[in-house]
Parts: sequence; C-alpha cells; structure tokens
Amino acid sequence: MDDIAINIKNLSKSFKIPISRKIHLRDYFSNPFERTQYRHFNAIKDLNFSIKKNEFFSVIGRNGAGKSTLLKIIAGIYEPDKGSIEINGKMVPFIELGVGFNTELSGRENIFLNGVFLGLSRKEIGESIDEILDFAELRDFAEVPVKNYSSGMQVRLAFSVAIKARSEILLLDEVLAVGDESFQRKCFAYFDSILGKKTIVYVSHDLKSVSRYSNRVLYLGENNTYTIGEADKMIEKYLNEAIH
Amino acid sequence: MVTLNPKFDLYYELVKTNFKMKYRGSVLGFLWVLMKPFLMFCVLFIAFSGMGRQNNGLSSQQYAVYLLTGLVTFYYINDGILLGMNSLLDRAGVILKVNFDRKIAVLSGMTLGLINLLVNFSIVLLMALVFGVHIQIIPFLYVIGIFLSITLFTFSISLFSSILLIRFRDLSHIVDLGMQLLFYASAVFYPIDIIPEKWRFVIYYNPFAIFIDAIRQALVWGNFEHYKYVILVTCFSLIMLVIGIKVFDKNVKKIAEYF
Repeated sequence: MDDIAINIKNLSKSFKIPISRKIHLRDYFSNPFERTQYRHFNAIKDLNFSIKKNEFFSVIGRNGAGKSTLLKIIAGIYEPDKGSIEINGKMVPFIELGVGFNTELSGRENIFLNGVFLGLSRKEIGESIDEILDFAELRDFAEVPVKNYSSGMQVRLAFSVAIKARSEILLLDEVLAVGDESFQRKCFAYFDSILGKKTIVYVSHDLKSVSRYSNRVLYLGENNTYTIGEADKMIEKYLNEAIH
Repeated sequence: MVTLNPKFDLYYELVKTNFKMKYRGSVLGFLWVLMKPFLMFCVLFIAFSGMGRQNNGLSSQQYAVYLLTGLVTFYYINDGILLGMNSLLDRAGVILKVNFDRKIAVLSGMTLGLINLLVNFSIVLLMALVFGVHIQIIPFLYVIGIFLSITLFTFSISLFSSILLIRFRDLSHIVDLGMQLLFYASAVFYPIDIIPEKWRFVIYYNPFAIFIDAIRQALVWGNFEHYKYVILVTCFSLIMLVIGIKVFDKNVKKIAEYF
C-alpha cells in the first residue's frame, strides 16, 4: 500500500435541502416555530477509489455532481456521513488559490496572510517573498492594495504563493487557465516540472488541461454514478452524457 | 526547513489583519478604543459619583478610578464573549477553503479584546497615579491573575458559543441583550451594598460582578477580596476548557456545511 496517496472507501455525503422556505415576513409571524422541512440530497454516494502516489488525478462532471464536495472532504473541511479516507504523505489542505486574501491589504501583506494559511512560517515567507513577487511579475505592485489589482494579477499572486506550499499532495479546484497567455505558459511549465513528483487532485471544467495532464480521470455522473478511466474516454463519456 | 511555529505565525498574521482592518481608514483610528469607556465613564461619573461615594466613603478621585476600573473590566469581558462567539462566523470564507486549527480563529478574534484591555488599563493606571490612588505590587499581581482567569473563562465559553452560533443564529441577539442586562446587574457603577439583601444573590451568582469587584477592591483598597470565588471560577473554567476543546474539535467539521 506504499504507493497509494489517497484511499477512499464507501464515501457518502448528503446535505439537507430545505423544501418549503419561509420567504415572507408573515410566515415567521404566523408560525414562528414551525420546523422547515428538509430532504436529503446525496452529493456523494458509496464512492470507492484510490489515488496513487505522484499521480495526476482529475475529477470531472457537471455542476452539482459533487466534485467540490469531494475535494472538501479530502481536505478535511467537511466530515463525511459514512466511509473513510486515508491520506499518506504531507498534504496542505487548501482547495482554492488566494485563501485568506484581504483585498484591502497590499500584495506584500497578502503574501504573508496567504502563506501562513498554507502552513508556511513568517520567516520562510520573508525569505522567499522576492521570488514570489518575481514569479507573479508583480514586484512593482507589491505595496498596492490587492483590490486595485486586475483579476489576472490577483490570480497570479495567489498562484505564486500556492506553489511555495510544502505539500506532497495538492488539491486544486479550477486553478489553471488563469492570467494572460505568458503567465499561463509559466503555470503549465510549473505543472510539467512537478508532474510525477507530486500527487495532484485536480477538479476542472477545462477539459484541455484535464486531457493534457491526467493519468486517470474520475467522472461523476448523474444519480451518484461514477466511472474511473483514461482521460480521453472519460471526457468523451462526460460530453456525451452532459449534452444529450 | 525547520519551521519556527507555523501555527503561531498564522495566529499572529490573523491578529495583525484583524487589527489593521478594524481601524483602517478611520481618522481617529486606535483612539476609538479609548472613546467608548471614556465617554461612558464621563456620563456615569457625573450621574452617579454622589451615590458611589456616599456608600463607600470614597473621595471623588477614588471613585473615578473605581468606576473606570469597573468599566474597563466589564468591556474586556464583553469583548471576550462577543468576539469569541463571532470568531468562526466572521471567518466563514476561509474556513470553507482551507483546513487549519479552528481554535486559532477563536483565539485571534478574542485577541482584539486583549489589546483593547491593555490600552484601557494603562489609562486606569495613569489615572490612579495622577489622582494619588496608591496601587500596591501584590494586589496588582492579584489583578493580573484575575484578568488571566477572565480570559480563560471567556475563551472556554467561546469554544461552545462559536460553534452553537453557526446552527443557532438567534444566539447573537440573545447574547447582545444579555450582555446589556449584565452591565446593569454587575455593579459596574454602584457598590454591591446598595442592592437590597434579598436580591443580592443576583450578584453572587454572576461571576462578572465578582471579578469586577475583586479587581476594584485590589486596586483601590489593596484588598484580596473574593479570592476563593476567583479560584473556584478558574477551576470551573479549566474543566470547561478541557471539555470545550473536545466538543469544539468534534463538532467544528460537522457545522462546516451550515456556514
């Protein structure tokens, strides 16, 4: 079992969804203690699979298929209703770039803020801050509040911090295809460089990057069905089912 | 590379950000911390200095120190309860994106109250100095001990209330109202003696009132009042802390979907 990074067994997670909501103020007054009715929505049901060490593993499926829920469970943000997850190796449990960004603060301040959320110490961040700013191509804007950055600049900053996280397992929810052409190339170059060296769980709608990098793909279909297989076959299946 | 302590660094950055965001863009900035207790002090001093002095035989300078100490202590408790309770909800955005020890969110939220206390309390000491109220070293250490006990108490309550608030949002209104009522029931601006005997249990069952009285007695008169009570509450808080950490860690993931 040494070559397994993430092992998932019988994983299920459901959410309570309110059926009749109190919409008008008078609903509250007429029946303030009436309990809202719920139904259970199974986001993930009886999922079984394992991800090998240093594999690039992608998850695709329509909106609401349970992709992000799965990632949140792996990160330990949600607790599953049933089943178990085993994680071998160091994982920094973030699923989005730029976690903790405060747009009122400057780029430099946000590098520290984001960095500590990714488990880096302030000393380490201080030592690599020039490198981060250079990679993000934002050295001249380090003291500008992030709210005045363009969205591309924000993502560049976030990406440049994220790759500093000392994590053998990366959880990535829709992170590629960011910034302008030249920065995208930089990102892809980074992915090429870590391919086969880190385990990556990648959730995306960008099928091009899924097909380019993935060793295997998990396709989450309708009614909690799922299939795992080669990238191109899974993408074809997804496109067939999603469009028809 | 050996990390110094990433958890402490996370705490440090969160406190720094909280602090910056709170006073960012305001003209008076950090002076607002002083404004609330100071204005309350002025109003209460003018209205109640006669009554406060008659019953205790305090000079008006002594009453000023007595009153301000009470206010500053009450605001510290109030800050601790409210900031602690809201700490998780305020960080909802981050909590849903990254998994870190959520107790750091609670601690960093409450630290803002501690910073306020340090500033306010130095004003109290300054006032005592100016008005010639002599503060002795040993009772002063006792006061620091009481503040530690208050911190422990409010933190262990926050371990429960921060989680509960996510599922039960009414809590915020209940606690807001409760703290306002407690202000009047905690003998902040009047001596405990003026409450009729049969109602005095309200004070004795209210740890806030006892904390406030103990701190005041120590500062103004150099007395070690209520020390048994303080030890009792500290022990109770320690037990609550142990249970609270268990309950918090067990439930904090379960409530993630209700943010």
